[in-house]
Amino acid sequence: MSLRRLRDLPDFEVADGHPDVRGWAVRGASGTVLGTVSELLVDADAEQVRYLDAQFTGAPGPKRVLLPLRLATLDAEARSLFMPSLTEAAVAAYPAYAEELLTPAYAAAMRQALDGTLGEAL
Amino acid sequence: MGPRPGGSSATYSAGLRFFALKVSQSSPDLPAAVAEIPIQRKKKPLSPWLLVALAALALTLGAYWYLRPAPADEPAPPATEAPTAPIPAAPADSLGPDTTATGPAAAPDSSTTRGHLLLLVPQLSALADRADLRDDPTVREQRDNLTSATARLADGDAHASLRPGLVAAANLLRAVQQRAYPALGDESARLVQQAGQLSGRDDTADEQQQNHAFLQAVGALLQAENTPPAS
Repeated sequence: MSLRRLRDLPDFEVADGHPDVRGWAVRGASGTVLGTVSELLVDADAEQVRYLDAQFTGAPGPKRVLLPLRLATLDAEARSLFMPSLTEAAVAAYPAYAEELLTPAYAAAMRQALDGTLGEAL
Repeated sequence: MGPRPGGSSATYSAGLRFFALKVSQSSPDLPAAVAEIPIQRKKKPLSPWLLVALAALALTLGAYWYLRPAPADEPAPPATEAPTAPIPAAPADSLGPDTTATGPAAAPDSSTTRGHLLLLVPQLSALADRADLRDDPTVREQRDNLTSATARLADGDAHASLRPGLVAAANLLRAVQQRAYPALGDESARLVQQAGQLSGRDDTADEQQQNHAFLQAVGALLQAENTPPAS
């Protein structure tokens, strides 16, 4: 699976009838806002969004992360994206995303931070 | 237990916020609604060049529609039948009076000087257009003079003088005589002299008689010059 930023695929757009969540708030288990979605990582072959490139803004400090879309639920009215797995501990342990590619090391760290039981969804 | 694989599309209601929180806080093993955002290829917008071509086509059609010649401006199809001339002896003549016109001029009345002269004009023109005469510059000039002098009469102008037409008729016959009929020199000279003495009016009985006599002489000389010249 090759992941590409949606903005790098000028011939693609979010499908009709589905929200473009860029700019939406990311909320964790407590419902508080943790950050904002800045970009979508897509599987161009499957024509699906796989990950959300998000910017955490709260404690312990600003951090750019990747969030698996399959673990999120969307609230179009509130323009919010809920990640129930993102507890305070998970946010602290969440690996910062600095690469343009999703490396196996980053995927493993992401699984560990969210929850071992959710690993298969990643 | 993880999220339901291959689940339904993303749910977007506000109620899911509560559901998602409950999943996290009370029962982590419950399957959460799986978000799914498909992407699609962008629909290609209409090519700007196609729009330009369509606009040009529309402009062309519009210009043609507004600038096309009106049916009245189109040239009439050529006539397939020769117009019927009231006087068979008259040849087609672009400079002569329009014998087919239905203008104010009525059909010439041979009982009047004007009508008699107008009846003679086509025959004089036909004589001048004869093959052996039409190339003579004097004959051609006198023919044109006759056409000009009788144009007002042919148009029905009641105030037009008869004299120019009568004189022109005599001069034309004189020119024809000098070109091809030397034996008729006396008659033609007398006719020209007679024309010079006419008043050009047709009011009194005297004037009418002089005009009538003159036109009789014109007819006689015309008949004589219509016979092939002795060569």
